[in-house]
Amino acid sequence: MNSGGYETVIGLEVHVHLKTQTKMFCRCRNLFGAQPNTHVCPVCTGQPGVLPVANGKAIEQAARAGLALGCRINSESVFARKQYFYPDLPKNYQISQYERPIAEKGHIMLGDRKINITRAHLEEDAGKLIHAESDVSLVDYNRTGTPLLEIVSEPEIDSPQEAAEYLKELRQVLRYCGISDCDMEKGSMRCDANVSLRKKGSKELGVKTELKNMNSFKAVEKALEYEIKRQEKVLGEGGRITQETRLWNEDKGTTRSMRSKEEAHDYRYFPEPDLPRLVIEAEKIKSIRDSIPELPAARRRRYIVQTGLSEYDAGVLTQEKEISDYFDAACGMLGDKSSENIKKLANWITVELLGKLNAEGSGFREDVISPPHMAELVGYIGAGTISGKMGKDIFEIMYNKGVSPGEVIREKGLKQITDGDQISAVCREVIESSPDIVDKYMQGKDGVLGVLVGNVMKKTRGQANPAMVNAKLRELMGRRQ
Amino acid sequence: MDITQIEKIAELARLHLTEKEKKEIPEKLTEILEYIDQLKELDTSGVPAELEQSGNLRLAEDIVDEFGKIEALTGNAPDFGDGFFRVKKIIE
Ligand SMILES: [Zn+2]
Repeated sequence: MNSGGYETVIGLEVHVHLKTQTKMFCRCRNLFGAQPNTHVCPVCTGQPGVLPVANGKAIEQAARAGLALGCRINSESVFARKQYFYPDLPKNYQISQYERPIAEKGHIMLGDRKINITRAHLEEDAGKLIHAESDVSLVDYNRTGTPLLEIVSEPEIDSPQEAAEYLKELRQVLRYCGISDCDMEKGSMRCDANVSLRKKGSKELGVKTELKNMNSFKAVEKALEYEIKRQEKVLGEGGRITQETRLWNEDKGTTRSMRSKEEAHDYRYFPEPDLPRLVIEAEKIKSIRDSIPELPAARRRRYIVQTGLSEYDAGVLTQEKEISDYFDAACGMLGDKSSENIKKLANWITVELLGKLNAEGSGFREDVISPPHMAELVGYIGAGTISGKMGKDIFEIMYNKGVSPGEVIREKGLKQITDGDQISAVCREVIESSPDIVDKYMQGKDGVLGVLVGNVMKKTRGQANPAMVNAKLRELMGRRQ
Repeated sequence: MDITQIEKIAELARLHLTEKEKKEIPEKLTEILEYIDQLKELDTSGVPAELEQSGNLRLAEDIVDEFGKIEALTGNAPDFGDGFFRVKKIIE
């Protein structure tokens, strides 16, 4: 983005909660939404004399994230203490990684744009503060010590829209790999944004501000838009940008300077004396790499290039791994794998199945209609055994009862009538019983043909092939002339 | 080491120093720093940094083992009520 002769430079720091059973350095349960202070122990509340023991699964998850983001995994990495005082941090320091993080130098592709990732490091989360009453703050240490991965991008993002795209892609990759839920509203994904402006064409970075407190992708976008305008105004009036942290206020749609004492950061990092360095063997890295599923970008490409789906359909089908897996499974079961049939399948999933699940407010579920049932349904429609309209009725029954389309067709006798003689007979009946309409048709009012087709469909309970009915009616009435 | 630096370190470490201490500490800390400077003169090229305990990090399996005696933790708190630790209001 550039306006007023300035270019925008954005870097994002994203924290995600790793999916594990236990915390990073103790075996308290890692659980969101529990009763306050029910999953705490001497380690995570910083009692004297305790020692941290690192969670192997969290380390594996962090390495998996690094690999999925194209990072190099450091065979040796080091934990460090980051020191500050705040009531949500009972030890008065946070165990993090500083000089040698677990992962470095990755990237995310946004179409043809490559956004580089500087590093990803492991750390433990702080507790939760609630500012409820007038003179006290309440502290819940359940979240204290839960495993976090901080993913830092290079300052290469050039607009608020691109920042949101980066976040969506990052979220998708991490969800595909089962690393995190990445739910911004629940706090399992948090994003801080650094933003600065520089004269167009200039190589030097301007003074940046750090934005915090955005609770959705939309909020990140809005906060950046606001902050860019604010900085443009300051610079335009000949002023200077102060390097500071600013809080986004969702209700007011503005950012404000955070003038707390904590602003004066001096974390005095040093290597954590209680934890030896973390060594990850090459073999382990290989086995983690092998556990990474085909990622969304690769799937989108496959759907567009190999399957001939539109970019939009490919995007909808890959929004969640479960949907994409479902599509792949059903696709494998299609008898006729013509691109026409595959497109039909994509449509039935994105429009009918997702439409219905979304309307019910439920996430994706494959158990309502199994992939083989879906493939069977599309197969019948593709082969002309049933019409699209009948397909919808059958889909409805399948959805509600979990039965196969074959069963519904047999039970209800819903097969499409494609027998010429049978259709002929019904068409004759309809023509005989509607002389007025036939007259109008004969006088050149082609529009009334639809009424006759409708009557035939009614008599056959929607089972006649509409194209055949249309042709047959024309043929029969043509003869009567 | 001068008083300003001492005051900054004290502030970061949440230490309250008396005027007397503020006068005495710079000298003591300077001595320590000089000792560190002496150490820095050693030629350590070719010697790998061993900052931490030797050996590799011991990893725990990701299996829940709750502490269970929560009262032992909450009981130490100056102010605890309705499931929460209570502290003086923090302004964001
Ligand atoms: Zn614990």
